[in-house]
Amino acid sequence: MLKVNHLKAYIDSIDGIVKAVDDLTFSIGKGETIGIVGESGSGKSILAQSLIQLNPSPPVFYPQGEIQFEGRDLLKLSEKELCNIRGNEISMIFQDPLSSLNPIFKIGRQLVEAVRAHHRMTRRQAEVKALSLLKDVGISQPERCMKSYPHELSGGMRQRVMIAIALSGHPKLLIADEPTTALDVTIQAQILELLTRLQSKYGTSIIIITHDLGVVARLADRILVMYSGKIVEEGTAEDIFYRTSMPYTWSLLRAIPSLKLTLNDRLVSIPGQPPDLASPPQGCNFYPRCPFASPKCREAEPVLKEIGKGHRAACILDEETFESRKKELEKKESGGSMISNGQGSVTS
Amino acid sequence: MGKDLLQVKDLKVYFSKKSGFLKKKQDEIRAVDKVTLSLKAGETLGIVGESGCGKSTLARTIMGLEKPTSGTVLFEGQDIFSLNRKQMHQLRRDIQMVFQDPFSSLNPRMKVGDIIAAPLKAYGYPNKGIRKKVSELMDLVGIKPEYYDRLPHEFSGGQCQRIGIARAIALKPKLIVCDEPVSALDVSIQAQIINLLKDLQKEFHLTYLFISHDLSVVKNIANRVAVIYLGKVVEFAENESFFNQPFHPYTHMLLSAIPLPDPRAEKARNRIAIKNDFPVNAGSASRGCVFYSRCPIAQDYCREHVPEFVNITADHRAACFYPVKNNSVVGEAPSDPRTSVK
Amino acid sequence: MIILVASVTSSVWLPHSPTLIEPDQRLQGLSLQHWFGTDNFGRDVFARTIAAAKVSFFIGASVALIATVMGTLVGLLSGYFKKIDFLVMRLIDGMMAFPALLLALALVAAIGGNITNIIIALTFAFFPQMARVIRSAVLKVKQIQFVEAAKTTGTGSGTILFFYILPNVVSPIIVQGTFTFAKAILAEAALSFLGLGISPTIPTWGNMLQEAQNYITIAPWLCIFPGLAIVTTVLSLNILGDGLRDAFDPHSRMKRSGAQRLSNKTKRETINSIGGRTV
Repeated sequence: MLKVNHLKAYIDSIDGIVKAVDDLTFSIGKGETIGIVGESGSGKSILAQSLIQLNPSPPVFYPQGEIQFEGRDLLKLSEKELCNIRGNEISMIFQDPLSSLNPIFKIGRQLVEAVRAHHRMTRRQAEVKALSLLKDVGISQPERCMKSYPHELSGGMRQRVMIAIALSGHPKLLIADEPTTALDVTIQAQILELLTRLQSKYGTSIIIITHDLGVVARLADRILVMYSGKIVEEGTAEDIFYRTSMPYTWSLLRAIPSLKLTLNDRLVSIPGQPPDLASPPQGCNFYPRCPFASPKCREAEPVLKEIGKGHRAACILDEETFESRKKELEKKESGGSMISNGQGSVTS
Repeated sequence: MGKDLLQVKDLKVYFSKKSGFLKKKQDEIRAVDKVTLSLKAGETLGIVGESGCGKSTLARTIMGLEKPTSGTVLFEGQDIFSLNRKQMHQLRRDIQMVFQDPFSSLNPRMKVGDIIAAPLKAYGYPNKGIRKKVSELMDLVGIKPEYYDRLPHEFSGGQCQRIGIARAIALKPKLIVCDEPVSALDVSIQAQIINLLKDLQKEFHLTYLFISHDLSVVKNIANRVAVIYLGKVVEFAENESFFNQPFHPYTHMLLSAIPLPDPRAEKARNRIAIKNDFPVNAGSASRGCVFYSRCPIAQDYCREHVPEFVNITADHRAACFYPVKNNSVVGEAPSDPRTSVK
Repeated sequence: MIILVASVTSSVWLPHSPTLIEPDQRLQGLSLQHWFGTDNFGRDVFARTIAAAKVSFFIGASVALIATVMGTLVGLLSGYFKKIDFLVMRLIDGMMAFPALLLALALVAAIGGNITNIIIALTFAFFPQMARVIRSAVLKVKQIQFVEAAKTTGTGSGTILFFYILPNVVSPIIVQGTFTFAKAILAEAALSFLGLGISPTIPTWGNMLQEAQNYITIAPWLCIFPGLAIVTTVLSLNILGDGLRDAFDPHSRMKRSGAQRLSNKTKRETINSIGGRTV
């Protein structure tokens, strides 16, 4: 349905050209959920905004690539055509629902307007539709909610309203950019449940962008791991979590504080900081932080290569070496505790 | 474990909010409602709760930034609210804080070296030694001392948090209040900061009050854990007993809501269906159990009666009439209220 | 800037004295000898315009400086200390209830019109606004966590005020300061024009305009050039203020903030576009 081919989105900044999205290729089918995982600054939000051309350009520009959506290249459409696609066919929800809603209008008015923008109906009809949408997203008192201002609702309620607005045009694709990051865990669980339920009801495809591997473990059929503007690993949820083939994904998985650990266990951290996208390191971007780095990694950028069916990873290590290195490292760590530091210099 | 360094007794912090123009009626927001906690020297107390539950207000009150409505906070046996300005100034030396937002807690117009030096200057550290001392501190938290003259915006979030930590430990305080120190950071950086905090604790015998919304982080750092819901402590226990056998249904709900980075376990999991939203106007319901509206095992009895905060086992306290005994809240019909309460 | 430089160095290079009366050269049009023509006393308009700039700048700069210092102090104190805030702000409100120019007019009328008095009057007219702006900026900065962080590290109020808050309200101070500069020049011109300014013997733009109004039909250059001088000065001061604000903002030098601001803006636009409204 949506196909992204060799997409590049660069930002022209004072520090030079930032390669926020660098040569990305992926596709999403009908009813599928794709998770895009990455740390802040990995370019995942720029990617999301590029998909429906929300990035103001300049400074963002697209030197290469295409975004095929049902036979049309979104990069080539006019602003007016894009407007028709946004909301009607591709919708988006954001991290912060408070700043996404207009604070001076009641929820009802904003929702009714959204409904009427996508369907030819009277105000009365739109109100009925709005109420049913609110019920759909699990708001128990939709009438009261319609009469509230955004600040009167809790974060979870606001995000539900945003989802209702996003769904008002029955989009084929929903892009969720960190939809639960600002919410508490219990609310997050509710929202994620809601997304799954709505997906099975409407058959919407979902692209969920997050930094939380736990969130995609629950929702996503396929996962893309991004690091400094590039896909470093791609595969099904099973591939990523159980057949991890890229040191970054592996380190990221290990860094999550798990309930399995006890007080005396030491968390495994990834040393150093994510690279500056304006001046990325030579060769592999993850090279300076990689536990398995060798001088060879510095010579050339690793390419995404097929490991299994639909499972791709960008690392020069082959599977066997990678497995044995992992074991080696784990053995070494259980011996002595590692010293944590942010700069790579040794602390006392 | 030593003696109690910090004792919080029946602490209440209420905010009054005028509702409407010209209306006399005042809504009371019970941000912290009768909280009793104690913290031993050298240990870490984790405080867990959702946003708006009053955990930050609790931290601010302990720091003396907020005035309590009633109750006391004893630091080394001294009531911090009975102190005069000078004594308070001396006390501040011993209690320091690490904030959630690494960027806004550093003055954007000051060099990072000066930021770390600020507490030293405030307590009359000799001018000559400051630069050396700051360099030591920077080295300790893993920031290169060469970066002394840089401004905060040149650093990443994790590095800014390290600078904030360096500032907090500059005076060798006894207690550090950490208000969500890692929740604004990426996962890979989170682990670095937690490890750093643990290392520093070991080295300087620090005591932490560690506030977080993330139970998995707390499990890794806190010796004892308190769960707060709507300003009230609902469960309080040693780390091990807390995670082995949580009693309060709210704790179960929190645990079950954490997404696991493991698709198979995630699918196999029996999740507690979470009812309702977090109540917005906290404190208006004065009758019954605070958790009643969201509790998966709530009974009629809970609506009318407020559960006492009692010892369920030694060292493990919870405020619930029907403490969960078999680690599963889902689909369990609790026994008859009358028989189990009496 | 050109006007400033020209006026400061004027006495060295001006071909005509600004006060020299040449009765035979009255009301002459533009010529090579008198670039901007001459006035009803035969004085060179160009020379007078430049000389007036000196006076205007002196008044403007003094007013801006004094009002800024006073306003900043008052704003800082009342923004930071809740106790005095109410009292000070009601006083300021009282002063602001009068239009600035009217207040200055009344003051000048009461104490008489020489340069010092005009500066005093204009300062009093403009500093309440300044204090207001600074106070609101202080209130905003006070909310940011680093102020609280400083408190918890035992830093004293004075240090917090001058080393933590003051540097972070520099940009509104600069902007407001340059605007006050511009406004003071305008106000001085207005006062002189109304005849309540500096004595007519000293050339100021306001004085020149006032004298010119009688001859506006026969010698339009008399009012065009001083008027033009006022417009360009005020305009360039305002632009200068904007430029200075950008230069003093650490965020404009920040790497990521641009992208962040960018994304905030786009979010709103998206919502609009999802809502179907064309942006």
